[in-house]
Amino acid sequence: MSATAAVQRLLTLVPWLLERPGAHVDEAAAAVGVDRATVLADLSLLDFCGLPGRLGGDLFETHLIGDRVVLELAPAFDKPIRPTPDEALRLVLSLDHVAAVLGDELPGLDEAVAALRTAAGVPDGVRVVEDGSVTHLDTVRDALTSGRAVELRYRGRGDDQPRARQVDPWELLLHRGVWYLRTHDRDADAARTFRLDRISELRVLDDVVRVPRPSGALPEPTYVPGPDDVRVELRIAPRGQWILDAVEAQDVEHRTDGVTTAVVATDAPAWLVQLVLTARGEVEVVAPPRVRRMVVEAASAGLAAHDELGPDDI
Amino acid sequence: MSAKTERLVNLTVALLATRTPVTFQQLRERMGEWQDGDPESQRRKFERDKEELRRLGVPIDSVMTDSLGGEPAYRVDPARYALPDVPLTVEQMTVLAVAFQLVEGGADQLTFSKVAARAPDPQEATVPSGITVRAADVSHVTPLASAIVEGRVVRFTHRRTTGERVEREVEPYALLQRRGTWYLRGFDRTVEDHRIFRTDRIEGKVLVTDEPVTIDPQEVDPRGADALFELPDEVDVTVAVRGPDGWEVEHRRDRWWRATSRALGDSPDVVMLAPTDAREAVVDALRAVLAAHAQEVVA
Repeated sequence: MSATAAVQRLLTLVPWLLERPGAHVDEAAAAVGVDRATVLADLSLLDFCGLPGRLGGDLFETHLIGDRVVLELAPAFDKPIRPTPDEALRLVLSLDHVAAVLGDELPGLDEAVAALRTAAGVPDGVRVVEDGSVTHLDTVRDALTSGRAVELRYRGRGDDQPRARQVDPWELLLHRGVWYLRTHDRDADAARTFRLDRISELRVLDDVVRVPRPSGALPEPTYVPGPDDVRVELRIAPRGQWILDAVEAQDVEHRTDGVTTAVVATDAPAWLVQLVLTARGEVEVVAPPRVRRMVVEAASAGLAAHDELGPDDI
Repeated sequence: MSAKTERLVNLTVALLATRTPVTFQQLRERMGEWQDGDPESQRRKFERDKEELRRLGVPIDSVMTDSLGGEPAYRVDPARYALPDVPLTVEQMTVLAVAFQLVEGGADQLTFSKVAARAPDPQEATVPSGITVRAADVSHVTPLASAIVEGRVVRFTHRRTTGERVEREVEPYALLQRRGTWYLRGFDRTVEDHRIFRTDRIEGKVLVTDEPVTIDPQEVDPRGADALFELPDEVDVTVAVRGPDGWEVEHRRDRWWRATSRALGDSPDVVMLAPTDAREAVVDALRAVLAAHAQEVVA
């Protein structure tokens, strides 16, 4: 593994150094994503590499003057190796992703990605389509830049009503097309993550951030199943299958009659009930009886409310 | 390990520098490698070296030569090995470097440097603070992307939303990522029409055939695929929301489907008042939910 990794680095490092005679060792290390000791070890190997004498070529010569590197070598090796198709796709699309969501702020990024796309051989038809405008995004960006706390109203998966909270904002994360705000929640005195699209109101406070972002990885925004989760059994008609894209389902079984059965583990049954209601009768809660009753009660009460209140009553 | 690194770099240089393909025996003599012990195991070692370089993206061609006794001979075409120079300005490199730093889980630094090796160095620039764009996984769409590049027909098994599995034969021309999900757009030969497929509903492997596509990609504007994600017009919506002091009426612009879904999800605390067809749809949907849960569940 390490020999292969070193070869991979050298095939890029050599042309990189040739283009930058006298580059600093630390810059060279950063360019290939390793530490100083590793890049020095790579460079020392180069002294033994080169065209074999009987092919009539020269050896590589590396000169380390202080912290500066000067490289001399055989021709034909002065251009960087092409990224593999997988690497090219990763690079172009991740940058295309940034251009799609933050292009307004990074002028020229679109054109730069287009040039990269052509050189790396990624076709125009392969790209990222995302909505650029997102509610609250600019306000949160302002708070992050100025280091201020924010107050927001948020309805969590377990909440009946939106609640007001004061948070110290740490970071915005775009994950699977959804913007998350990672924070220190002052009320809970703990790290909390909020979906921007579930925040109903948001304002920047004069108060500065009290608890700064800890170093290291922050908790994942994805749902982590817990031991107290309710296991809800669903029976899904053909037109309700989209619900499987919205939840983490287990024991999914597609039956020959078109019906799918699945189990969803959740700590917030009320949130799952909401989803079942939006499925318009195409998804049935089979068990447990308590959650099934929650669906029936919400639907009955909703019908009663529509009976009680019509367009003529306002 | 260092001996192996040296051997692999030297093999790359030797194959890049040679104009005429060289055989294993010639490489062996000239490079002084693969010498010790059993010839068969040395040959296997050479084969492993070759495969390892190919995995790193070194395009080693092998040709059969009559003059060399039917032995395969090898070389690397410098034009296919190297990345063509990317025409990027200092400003463009700077904005690319900033964007690159905002991404998590995208390409690694080494890939960026391959592209940047012969481009101007970026200037110092402020990276927007506290913002991370997590890249979507590309590993399973690489075969589809190369099929588009090469203009080849693909075959795969696709699961419908109903769970039914259908064999598809598609001339692909666009691959779009939205909300972390990939969509393949192409001409579906089975139904003779343009279709879009969620790639996470593809079962098993995608077969990239040798068959060239017949539709002209120039005629299908890949950007026209955006229309698929264009949202329907918004309508004037009136809802009553249950508040602490009774019902409060709210007016807003919203898309029809989303407005009815929101009202359903917030039932019984929201009543849809207008438009009439949205109100009817909400009432019908609530009735359908009740009907689906009407029967006693038999244990």
